[in-house]
Amino acid sequence: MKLSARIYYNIRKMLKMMRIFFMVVGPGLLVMVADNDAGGITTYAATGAKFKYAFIWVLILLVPITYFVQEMTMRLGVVSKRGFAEAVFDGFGAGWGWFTLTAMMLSCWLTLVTEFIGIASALKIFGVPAWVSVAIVCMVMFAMVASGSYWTWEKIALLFCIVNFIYVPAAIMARPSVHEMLSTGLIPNLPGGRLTGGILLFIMANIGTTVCPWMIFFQQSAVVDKGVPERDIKWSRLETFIGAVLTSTVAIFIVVLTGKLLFPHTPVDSADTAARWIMLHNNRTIGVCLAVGLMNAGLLGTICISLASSWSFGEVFGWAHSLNKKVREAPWFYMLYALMLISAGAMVLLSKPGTLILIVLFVQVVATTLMPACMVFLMILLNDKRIAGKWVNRPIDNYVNGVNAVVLIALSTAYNVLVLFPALLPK
Amino acid sequence: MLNFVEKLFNFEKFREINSHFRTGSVKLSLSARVILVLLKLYLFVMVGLLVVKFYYIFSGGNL
Repeated sequence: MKLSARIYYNIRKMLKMMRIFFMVVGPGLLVMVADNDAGGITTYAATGAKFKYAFIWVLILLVPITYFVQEMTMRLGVVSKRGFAEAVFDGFGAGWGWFTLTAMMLSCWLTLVTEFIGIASALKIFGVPAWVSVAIVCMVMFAMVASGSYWTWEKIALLFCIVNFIYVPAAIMARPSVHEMLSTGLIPNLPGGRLTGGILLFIMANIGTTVCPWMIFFQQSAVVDKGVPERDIKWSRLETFIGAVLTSTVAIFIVVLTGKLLFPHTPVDSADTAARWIMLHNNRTIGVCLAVGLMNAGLLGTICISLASSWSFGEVFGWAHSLNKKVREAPWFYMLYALMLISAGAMVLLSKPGTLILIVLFVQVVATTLMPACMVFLMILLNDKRIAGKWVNRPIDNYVNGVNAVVLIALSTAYNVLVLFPALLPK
Repeated sequence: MLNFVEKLFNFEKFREINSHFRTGSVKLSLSARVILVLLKLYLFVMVGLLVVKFYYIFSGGNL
């Protein structure tokens, strides 16, 4: 074959592959970027402000952990054509099913409240009252699903994902020392050379905020709603991996940003505090970027979490549950979606600050309690040839995910015990 | 839609779901059964801890 013909053939092949990839792209990328939600941004900002670059290695280690969990989720969704809630009901019976559905609903609702808190506190920096923020968010969410098309909804959501990368130029503007980042952040180490209770809590909070149960429910239902075929699993794997890399990259840039500007004298308890402090004492543009990023992160989280619960209930209760249906065709699906949004928004507006702090505390505890159960169900379901067919877990999948599950269960247990009973923290 | 609401409020829908998914269809190996028992134990302990925490919060304790 002539050289020109070979080049032409290869370019066409590459273009075709890219076209397939961009058709498949959506659920994996969306779930991973939305993983950097309002709670996540706060955790990363606090980590950077307290420990500078010391925990960048933890965020790098999270790439394979999140990838392997979400890859199993995507594979199960594609081969079973069922969302996670329905798969658990079908695979393990009604007892485990109701437990999973109830815990997921509680976890999603509590997380949704934290997303609203994040959005409201970010917009408050620009002088927007909380009730206006809540109303705007609800309107945006309803407008996104009003088209009655999964494709339209997904593309709008992906646009929000792009804003999530605002932290990258913001961190570069802070002019961090690349040498310091590489020398102190990449090699696994502990600040002060020993493991204290505070350090343990921060490591676990970073892991807990990156691997969440709602991600499993969301991605599995999304691949089913999108109708990803089995032949495109390899592309969905690639998409999920790219998403895992991107989510950790954004997290690292947030840590670098607050590490450079706030360490060691400004401990922060929330991302909006960090944004305000940077705007007042450092660089207004960077502070604004942090606030805009926080608002966008809350929006992305709200987009995914509100849908995860509506999809799951629709699957189990047997009502129409697709974004491709109009409101009159799937009234219960959209009613639950609206109910989740309005009740979470109302909670933020009507509650006393003490109640909201309690919610922020319990949201992680409920999520980390549910997570091990989700991991176990995923692994058992994907080891059943009748369900997974030729996409059944290989020994290497079981080995990696088994180690993953044991580590997550151990850390979740320790995290829950320490959050619930801080008096037990080793000094 | 009204039919669905009626079903929901007299728990007919729940009974329907329970009978439809009465037993799990997944084939459980011995190790999977052991893992599920351990999971039940783990969840029992975690929910117990949450209950204790709530008790301390609402009784004004300081644990």
